[in-house]
Amino acid sequence: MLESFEVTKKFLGKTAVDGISIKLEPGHIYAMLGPNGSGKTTWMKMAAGLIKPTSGVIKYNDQPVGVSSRNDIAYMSTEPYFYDWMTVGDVGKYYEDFFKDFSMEAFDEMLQEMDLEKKLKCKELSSGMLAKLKVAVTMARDAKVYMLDEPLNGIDLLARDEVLNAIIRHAGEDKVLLVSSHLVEELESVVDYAIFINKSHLAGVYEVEELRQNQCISLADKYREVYGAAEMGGTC
Amino acid sequence: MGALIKYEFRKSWKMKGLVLCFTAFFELLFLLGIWRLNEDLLAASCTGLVLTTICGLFLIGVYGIHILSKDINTKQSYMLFMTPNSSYKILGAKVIENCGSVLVSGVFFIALSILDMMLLVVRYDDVQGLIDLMSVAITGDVGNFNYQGFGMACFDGVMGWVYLICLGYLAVVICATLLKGNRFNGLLSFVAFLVISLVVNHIHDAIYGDLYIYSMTRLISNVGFYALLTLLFYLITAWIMDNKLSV
Repeated sequence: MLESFEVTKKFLGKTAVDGISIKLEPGHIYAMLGPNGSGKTTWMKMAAGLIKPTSGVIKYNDQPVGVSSRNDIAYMSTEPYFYDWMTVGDVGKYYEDFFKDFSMEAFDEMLQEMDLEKKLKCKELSSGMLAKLKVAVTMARDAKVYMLDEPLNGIDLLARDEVLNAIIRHAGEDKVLLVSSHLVEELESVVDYAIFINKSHLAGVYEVEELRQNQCISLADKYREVYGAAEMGGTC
Repeated sequence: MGALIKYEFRKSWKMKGLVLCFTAFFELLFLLGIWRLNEDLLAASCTGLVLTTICGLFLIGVYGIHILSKDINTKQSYMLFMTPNSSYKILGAKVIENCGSVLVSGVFFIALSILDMMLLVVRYDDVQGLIDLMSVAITGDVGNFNYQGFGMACFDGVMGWVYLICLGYLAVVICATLLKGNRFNGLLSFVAFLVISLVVNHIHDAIYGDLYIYSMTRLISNVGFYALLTLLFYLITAWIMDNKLSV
């Protein structure tokens, strides 16, 4: 279980994340939603142990996140981060060298599905191909927690389906999946819960099915309601 | 740790390969000069070998500092810091790979120069004048020169450089952590580098005196002093990374 206790992160006078407390439980797929600059990426980076919180703590299985939690948490950044000299195959080998839960077979399979060749150089890949590679190498891990920051950015409609399928395939009773995206409609059919972040604060956590059934509102409309101050919903 | 060292080497092998190519080229010229007893060729190759040694060791060290800077200041930092390795291991791999490369290269260049000097002694009868000149330069006296002393004096120089590389690591990490966001962080960390190296120099002079006295004991003790400093700066840098670095 991944739990955040009153986590705050300040950068030179700017508060990126302000007192966020959330709990992510295994067996669920979460969407982290919010406009640009709301603090989604900063929170994810803190949960991945890449950034240290100014105050508060994020715990994985009751232990503060750190070096050992990186064994179980697979984080995919929104920005490309592979070394320039790497080929697609080198990226897989790199993950195999560092993560015990990485499966080269699963990676090869996903590369095939996503139409990526191992000999291609990372610096020569288009942004869409890089996005697919990031997803493939992250999802080829058999991690306990997956955090994907904007995995649908820069990829075409068909590739989006492949990415979403990969996400669904990895969902399981002992796994936590957290996906941040602006493409709310596309996530709606995939996620169980939506975490709304607004101006560095937690704006609410909603069960998507409950929104549909009891509040008669789609996730996209809830998004509009939270961020656009529009009143949505009505009779079911 | 092995995987980290492997990838550190992968990042810098081209630079090392280039230094090796230059060395091989000048060494071939030197051997040609020895074979043909061509003094012009010998002078040019010796100059080339000395320059390659100095520039090679300098470039390998500085390039390592550049790689660390890139590894903590760009998005490529995720490649290192999302892996289940502590900052101590990540920096340790860099120190072992880069300082190890400098040390191995240093030992290689020392061995090569001793070998070349021996070749010169065998091939030329009047090379003793040159050896005496080197003896005065290194030991301060004619006739004190021996190959072990020469090797240790060079090794002392290499260790002095290794400690400076670790100090460079510290400056880069200070720039990316304690001074992050400061407009003049690059300049300030460079000033910190200069100030710390001056302080270390004063401490060194306070312990050993500011006059260079040639003796094997002194050289070994000097190497130990720089090895201790290397360890100290590694520990400080890794601690700052572990506690303050956000990538």
